[in-house]
Amino acid sequence: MIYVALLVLMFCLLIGVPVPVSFMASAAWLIFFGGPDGTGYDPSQLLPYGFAQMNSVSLIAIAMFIMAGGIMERGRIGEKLIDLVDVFVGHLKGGLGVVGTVSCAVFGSISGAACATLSCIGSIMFPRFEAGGYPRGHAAALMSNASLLGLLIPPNATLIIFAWISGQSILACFLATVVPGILATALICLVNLYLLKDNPSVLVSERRSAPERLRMLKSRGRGALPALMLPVIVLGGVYGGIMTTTEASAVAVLYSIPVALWVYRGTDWRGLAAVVVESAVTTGVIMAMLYSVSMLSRLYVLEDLPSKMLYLFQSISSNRWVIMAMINVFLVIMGMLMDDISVVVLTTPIMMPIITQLGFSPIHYAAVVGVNTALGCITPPAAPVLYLGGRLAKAPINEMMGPALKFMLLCWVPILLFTAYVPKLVLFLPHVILGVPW
Amino acid sequence: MKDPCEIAVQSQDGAEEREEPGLGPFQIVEWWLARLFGAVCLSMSLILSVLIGAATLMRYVFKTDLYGYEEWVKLFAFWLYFSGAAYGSLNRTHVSADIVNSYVPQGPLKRLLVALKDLVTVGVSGLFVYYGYDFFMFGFRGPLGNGIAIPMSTVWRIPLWTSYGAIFGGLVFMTLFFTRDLVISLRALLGSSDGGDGQ
Repeated sequence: MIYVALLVLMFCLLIGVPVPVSFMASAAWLIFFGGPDGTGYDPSQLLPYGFAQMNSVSLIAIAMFIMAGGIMERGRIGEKLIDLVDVFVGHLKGGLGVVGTVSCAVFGSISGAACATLSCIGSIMFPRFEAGGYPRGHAAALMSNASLLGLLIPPNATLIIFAWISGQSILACFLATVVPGILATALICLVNLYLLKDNPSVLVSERRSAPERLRMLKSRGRGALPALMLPVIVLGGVYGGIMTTTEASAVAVLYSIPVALWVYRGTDWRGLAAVVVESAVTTGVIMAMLYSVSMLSRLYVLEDLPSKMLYLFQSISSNRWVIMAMINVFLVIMGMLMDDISVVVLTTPIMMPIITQLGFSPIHYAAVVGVNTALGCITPPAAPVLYLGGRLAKAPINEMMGPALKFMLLCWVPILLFTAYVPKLVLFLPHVILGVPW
Repeated sequence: MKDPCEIAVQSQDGAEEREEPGLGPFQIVEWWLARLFGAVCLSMSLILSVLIGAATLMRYVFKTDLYGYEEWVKLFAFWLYFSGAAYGSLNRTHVSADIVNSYVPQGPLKRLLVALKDLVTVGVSGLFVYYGYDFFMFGFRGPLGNGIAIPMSTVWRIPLWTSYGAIFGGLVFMTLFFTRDLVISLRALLGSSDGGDGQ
């Protein structure tokens, strides 16, 4: 019956049933026809189980981080960040692309959301790219790829959800994606410079003298400081042992309100109320998924789905690194069909028992999931970030696909391989800071 | 949510918007519900931020605890989650794979698939409304069914039906808005409305 339940889930997802209801549909099938004798399960235990799972203070951090990111995005901090990064690398050929990439990485650590990063940084950068002679397709592909860095550089909602479902430390999961995030930032910058090095249409801005750069650094640094303080407060507070993740997220909201209202004057009270409601709706949509998947995963575990999946993988190969490759392919395919949070919500309860049984560290797997879900956001057919990038840059999809594919192959695939097959790279920070075993 | 005068029926594939001539009673109800959910979402978000922020301040600056504040935080969080989820259904912002809308061309097949999708959605969410009612009544009546020994929180003795109610209410309103979508898609399928293939 479990296979029919999976088919029900896939059918519902394919015809466009909302993800939480698709999970409920699969659960409903098992309620009626599941169990060892096919007589189903008692539904009266399911909703209380979901309630017990969600009755957790740490989950509130998701709502708070989404809200803080939304407020900061509305607060027009993007321009200040971009101007600051421009002081360092603006004079290189292709340097504007580096400015955009690094700004996305920094903004991503504030907002934690790819689409918010792309719409905020991209809308400022695309006119500059056009003025700098960048091919539109390249600019769109570059920013779409760079906006994913926020999914790796903490804090972000995807990893909190992973940690919550898998029962791992949120801090350890945050740390696991830092090294892949930094490597991805560097690789995207390098690939951008490489792809543009012989492009005659790309203009190079005048090289500034050292005193001039220092003066600009001071003035622009002062402008960007309030925005840059947000990740410092959150990550410093959490890793310094001063606050829990949930407390840090609430402090981030309370900090971002005066910054957006009075420091950057990017919004007013009415705009603030609108962004809080928008964030609440985003939170509600995510929480509805989490509630339904917590019920569904309970039934999947009762049906022994993880063991069946492991058996399926082991029927192909018993080598755990080959199975890791299969899990990666599975995650990439899921990412091609669904958004990042849906992939995490659906696959984590099924995959976690397999990962632990194979002897992999769950924190290592957190990084694997982080990179895979980021890649999934730009792999068609469901590639919301790529499409948004094309729309913002007004780049036709055929102009964009070539550069996007180059960035995927030269940046994300190596990062994915490193993350999956060099666990020490991923576990270095969690081990050094939190003592997570190798 | 738009002003009632600006309410438009938006196609689910986002392809086109069409102004409705005047305001029907359903649109007025929808507008008021949007305002209600917006108010609940806003107030719960702000209460949660202030409450957790205050607890952090008390703990690390004044070295004292807000006694049992987590129980209130969890209660408000459930109302935030499920009001947001219901509002998401009202705005049609729930996450879906959208393969049909993106890849099936406009026409009878697409109208049929959209109607099927809405039918499945309403059927399943309706079933969970039924389960949600049982869950809510369990919190209200207790395990003995007579209102004695109802489940409560440990510190403040907050009855848990206050949180269960958020889940039940969220499911009810989600189903209500999914039913609205079903009616629109059935009308489009059966030809009594040119509401568009994707609604």
